[in-house]
Amino acid sequence: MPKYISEMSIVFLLMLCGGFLLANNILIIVSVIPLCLLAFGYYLKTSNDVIVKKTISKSRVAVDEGLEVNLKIWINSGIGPIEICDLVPAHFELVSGSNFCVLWKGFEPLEHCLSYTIKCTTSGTYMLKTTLWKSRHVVCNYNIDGMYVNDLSVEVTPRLLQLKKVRGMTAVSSVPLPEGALASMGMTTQEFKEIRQYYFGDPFKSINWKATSRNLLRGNIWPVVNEFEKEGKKTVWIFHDTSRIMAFGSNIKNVKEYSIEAVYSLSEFYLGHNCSVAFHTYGGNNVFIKQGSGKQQLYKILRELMKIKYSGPAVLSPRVHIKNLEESVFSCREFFVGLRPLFVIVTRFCTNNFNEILKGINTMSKYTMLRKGYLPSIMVVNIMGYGLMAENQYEILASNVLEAMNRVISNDIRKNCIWIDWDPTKESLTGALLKQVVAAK
Amino acid sequence: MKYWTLSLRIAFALVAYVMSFILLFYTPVYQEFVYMFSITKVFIITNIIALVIIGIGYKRVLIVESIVCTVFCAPSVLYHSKLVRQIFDIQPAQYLSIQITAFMFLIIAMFLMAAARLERLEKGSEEMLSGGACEADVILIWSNSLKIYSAFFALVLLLCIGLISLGFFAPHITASKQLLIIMMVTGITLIVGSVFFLYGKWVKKH
Repeated sequence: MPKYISEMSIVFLLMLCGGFLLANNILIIVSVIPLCLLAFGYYLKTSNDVIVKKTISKSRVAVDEGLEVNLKIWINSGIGPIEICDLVPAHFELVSGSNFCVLWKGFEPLEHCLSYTIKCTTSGTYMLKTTLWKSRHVVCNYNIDGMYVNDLSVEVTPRLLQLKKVRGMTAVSSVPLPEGALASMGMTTQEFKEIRQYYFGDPFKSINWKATSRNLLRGNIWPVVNEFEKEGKKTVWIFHDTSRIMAFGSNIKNVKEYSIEAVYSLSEFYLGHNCSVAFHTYGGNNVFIKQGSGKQQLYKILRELMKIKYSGPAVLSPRVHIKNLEESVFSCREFFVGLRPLFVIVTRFCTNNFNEILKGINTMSKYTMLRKGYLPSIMVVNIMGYGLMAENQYEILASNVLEAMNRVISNDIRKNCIWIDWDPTKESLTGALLKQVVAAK
Repeated sequence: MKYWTLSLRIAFALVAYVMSFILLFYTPVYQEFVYMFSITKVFIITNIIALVIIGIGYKRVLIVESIVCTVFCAPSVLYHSKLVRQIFDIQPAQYLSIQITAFMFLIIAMFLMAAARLERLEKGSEEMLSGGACEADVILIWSNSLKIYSAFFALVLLLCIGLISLGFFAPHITASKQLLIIMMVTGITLIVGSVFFLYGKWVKKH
């Protein structure tokens, strides 16, 4: 706008000076036009003093759930057209209504209501605070831009993909459960663990009299008891790949988002089946949640998953060492002692991470049950992402070729684990799990 | 809405062009050419040159046309400068009077401004509609803007006609030399003072 004022002033002064220099009355008379424009520009103010009160229907929504946004707009001064646009974060999609409106502000104060519904396609915490406005002057050729800031945010939680047990002729359970159920707390099982010294409170029936008498001969008068394994919660370790490989796909549909949904759904499933779930990320963030159970554990995992969304490897300091799968498993080895957990790896397989996954699975195999003829308790959820970027028939063909190539490359790894290929564009996670079980049978 | 805006713009631009050509026609420069060649030849050549220039800048046709109109008007407007008349020693009798020239120049300027304003309004409306605005709101804005702009034009026109009338009557006023000097200085001071006042207010506001 200062440019406009300068331009008008210069035009006016040039015409006036020209008129006086050449003694030309016409130029002097016409110089009134820029003068009038200046005067109108000053005294006829643009619409401003915009106040926006924004409300949202919910402060927490799930992915793909509608969120209603209502705006009450007051414009108290000025005259002229005004454009108002309520900024919607990039991952949101407008479902109904409009977040943009144009209004004519007359001499009276104006009040206007704007409402629209949006849905978010990816999880995270989003700010919905900014409302932009652009006011055009009714006579002069300039605009005034402004913004009104509300303090609003919305938490978008990942979609919970319902994993169901399917009972039928071909499949009993579509989701593998951990085999081991050993823990230091809980009901005693029939499985012998060790002989230990008697402590007050131990039942007399547990005293191993033979061993106690042998000890007496050696001079140890304290009785010993038989210790049996305790029945505890089955443990599941979820390893989530957060490396650059996962950032495949568009802004709205990407592998990372689907992996978050998969992790959240698997956590919910296993916690719902009374398992103890631990969560570890690798390749980018080093998030680690110790094993736990119940809704609180699910909430902890969910909170971390929502943070993962925004912290890619690029934002990490170069000094921070990025752990790969093998290192992550190795760093948690003390937690596996006495347990035979089920390991779940959620990743996107490609040639770049072939070795990483292979080494990781080999390391995991050391800590989980490996009975002859059975697969170790390791499940790899491979999110096939090429289809997400395919738009036309040729691209779909190309993505199919690439997926087929990956299938061939991953054959060596598939032998050592339960491998689940999930194409989010084609099927649900339950469908993928079920298909895998049926195929295995 | 778009079609009749376009028609109105074309009409305004055409009227401005014709009026500026009329102004050019009654100038010694044009008459010299008419004297050298024939009236038809000069008419055709001048218009062809002008149209070619406008055609070259067809993407910003209104700006180019404004330039052409200014060039056409310049000899007529400058001819009424006392300084120019004295230098070139031109006889004023056979040409348009200063009042008519001033009025026509004013109308040309206002028509060109109106065409530019319509173009801006059209662009603004398109922007709003593409942004997802309701068409009824856009039409309301459009009509209200036009009303206010018409009022502005009427006011400016009245002011300028008043000034032209003043220019017509002022030479007939018999006053002493000192009074004339005082009037002139007061007039200049008032106009320049109002500009600086407005400029200062603007700058202070932003």
